[in-house]
Amino acid sequence: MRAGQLLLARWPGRYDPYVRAAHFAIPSAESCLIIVNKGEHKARPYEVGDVLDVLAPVGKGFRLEASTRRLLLAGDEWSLAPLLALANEATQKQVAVTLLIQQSSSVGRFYEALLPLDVEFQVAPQLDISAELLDWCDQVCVAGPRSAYVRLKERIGQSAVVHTAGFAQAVVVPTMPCGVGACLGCAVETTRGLRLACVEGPVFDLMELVV
Amino acid sequence: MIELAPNRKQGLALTNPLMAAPGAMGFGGEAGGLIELDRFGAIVTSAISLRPRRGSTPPRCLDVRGGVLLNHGGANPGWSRALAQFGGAWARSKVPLIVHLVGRTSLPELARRVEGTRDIAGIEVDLEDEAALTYLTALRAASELPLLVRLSHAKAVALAPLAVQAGADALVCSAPPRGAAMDWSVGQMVNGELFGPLVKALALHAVRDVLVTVQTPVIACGGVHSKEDANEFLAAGASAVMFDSLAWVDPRAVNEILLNRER
Repeated sequence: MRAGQLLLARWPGRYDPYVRAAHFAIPSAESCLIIVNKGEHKARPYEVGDVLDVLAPVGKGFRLEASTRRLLLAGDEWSLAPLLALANEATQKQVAVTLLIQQSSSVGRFYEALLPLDVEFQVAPQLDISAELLDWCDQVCVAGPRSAYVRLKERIGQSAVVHTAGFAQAVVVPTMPCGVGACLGCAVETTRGLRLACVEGPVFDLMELVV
Repeated sequence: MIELAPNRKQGLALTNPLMAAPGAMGFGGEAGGLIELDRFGAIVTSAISLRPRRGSTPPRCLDVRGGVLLNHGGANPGWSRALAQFGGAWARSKVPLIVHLVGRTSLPELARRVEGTRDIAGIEVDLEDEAALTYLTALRAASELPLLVRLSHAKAVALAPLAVQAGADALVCSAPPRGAAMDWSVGQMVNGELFGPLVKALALHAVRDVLVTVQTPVIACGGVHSKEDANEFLAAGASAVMFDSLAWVDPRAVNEILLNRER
């Protein structure tokens, strides 16, 4: 699996919840870690020993440009998983990575152990990317609340620098009944029309997203 | 063999009574990587209109307790583009392929185009109310292909004999019932079609009532989630049974039912 691709999971034989839950995975050599927001599941959280019916990989994931040497990542603590996976991929390619984390819960900095050592991270109560950071980076990837996407779009739009397509990428995960493009349920609105998140997302060009 | 169009010269014969409902497999078998399409008796495509339709604005679906609400608003690329994009998959289908058409006044034109397309075994359309009968009659006049008419859930019993009079070769009972729920994550009400295991009881009730009113083959559709569910519909008198949302949420279960249907 690539960073930004989804793993859809459900308990086999059970239909409540009906639709698979969407997770981002952080693959490693031995296993595949997923981070679950306890509020995502209406039944109960997963427990060790659970056998899950999994559909993966779903979607296209992030696109790290070959020319990118400085990567800015930003997200809230419950949306970090795709960014953590991308941080791993990027550092393996000797890309300098800075991660901004909006932390509003008291759950603790569980993500610290999951970050490569050479990733610089900053924690703040609000996700607000400064103009200086935007000027520093070659690409920015975000995962979090729509309000953060709106602010970032505005900031990029006001920038004196003209950025190419794909400079800013954002994660959007609607409910996905099928995960293969058959049901048409996971449409996301973009300036190029409606796009299915399970086929063309869940990572989208932020400047094309209608937010 | 199960003959769904006994009065039609071309006929629509199935090797088994298990079908894929419109949208279950997509336009050209998008779910084909997960489900063994060749094991179906027939497949119905997602709905296609003459001109492209954008469909409804997101959010289009919402997980509700034990089911899902879906409102894609008939999104589709239009007939010409669908044929260009999916015609190859249609030609490769080893089971009868039925196209689901939408659009009232354009149905006759659509039917003529479908008639001129190879590899299409039949047409399916929705019948939502009595006012649509005019368009159904016009479609029937425009094509000799076997015609399946999917009845609105709310009016299935009333519409069934009218659909037969208008030229339906078989009836599909029924379209998904309508539902609504609040998506609190965006503060928006989602209205749409309801899918899930509970729909089976509604569909079975409708199928039994419809069968009393017509002598035409009736295909059951709604809430099938097991071999036992399918057998219930067949035991009630349905000629065939369609899978819809189970193909999305549990394709493995569909494969098992297709593989073990005679066991």
